[in-house]
Amino acid sequence: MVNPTDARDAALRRLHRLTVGAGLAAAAGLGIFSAVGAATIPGTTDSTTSTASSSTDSSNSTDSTSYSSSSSQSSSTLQPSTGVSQSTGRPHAVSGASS
Amino acid sequence: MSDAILWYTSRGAGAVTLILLSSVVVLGVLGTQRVHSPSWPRFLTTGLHSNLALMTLVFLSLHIVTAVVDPFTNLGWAAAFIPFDSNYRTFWLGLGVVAFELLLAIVATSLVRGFIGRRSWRAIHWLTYAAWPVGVAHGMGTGSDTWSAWMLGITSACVAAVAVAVLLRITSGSRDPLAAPRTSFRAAVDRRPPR
Repeated sequence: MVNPTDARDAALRRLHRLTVGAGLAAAAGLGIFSAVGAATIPGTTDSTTSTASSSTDSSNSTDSTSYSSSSSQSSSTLQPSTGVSQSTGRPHAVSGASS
Repeated sequence: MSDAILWYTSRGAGAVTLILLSSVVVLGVLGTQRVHSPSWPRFLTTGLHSNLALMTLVFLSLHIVTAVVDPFTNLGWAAAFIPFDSNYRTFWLGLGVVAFELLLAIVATSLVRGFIGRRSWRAIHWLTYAAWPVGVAHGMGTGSDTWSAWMLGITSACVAAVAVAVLLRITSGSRDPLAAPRTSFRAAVDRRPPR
């Protein structure tokens, strides 16, 4: 017969292992989902858009696409606030800093 | 730190928060159903439920902080705490704030459960059934990845798991072994003639 104290200690150890495992899995999930999200909807301007924007008048270019206020940001990481993603077949709005 | 990294992190943390919160809800329902076995005592379910709830708050905080400090939307801290105060996607972000504050209330009252009494704690804990769908609606409404296949899979799995757990709870009724004696005792007390 199993000692109740031993069974309780074993269950507590299991709880500790499960909690640590869940924490590690959640941290890994954060990295994976962030990477997958970055790959599927990077929120960057492609070369076509950049060319089109640069060829238009500067006052008009902000009508179709607005960019992050960070002046130090390179063009490869700019996030358009509106527009349609080119990477997937299904059209959907692309924007920055949303969940 | 790059603005894009903040945005990606916020989205990733949102997805992880949804999974954790759904797990917490499912474990909470299993706890009320007194699910146990020789190798899985009941306190393991409630202990994991509590630990994952705290972990959910950590990732939810990361989700909120990365969204607020991202200069792109310029949300501001007020929008993170005052529902429907944001100029950016007012309604959907407002739902997220409501869900966050409900969860905060649920976790806080659980931590001081001994002081507020079981009845008050239980009444507030029922708010989970409001917080979870509001959180899911927030993700569906404003999530950049909502219609991505991977996020659709996560959301569907979470909704299915919680739906099954809630259905189990509704159909199985109370598993409290003292429910029947308690009810008959109360009935006997009520039948007692007044002195």
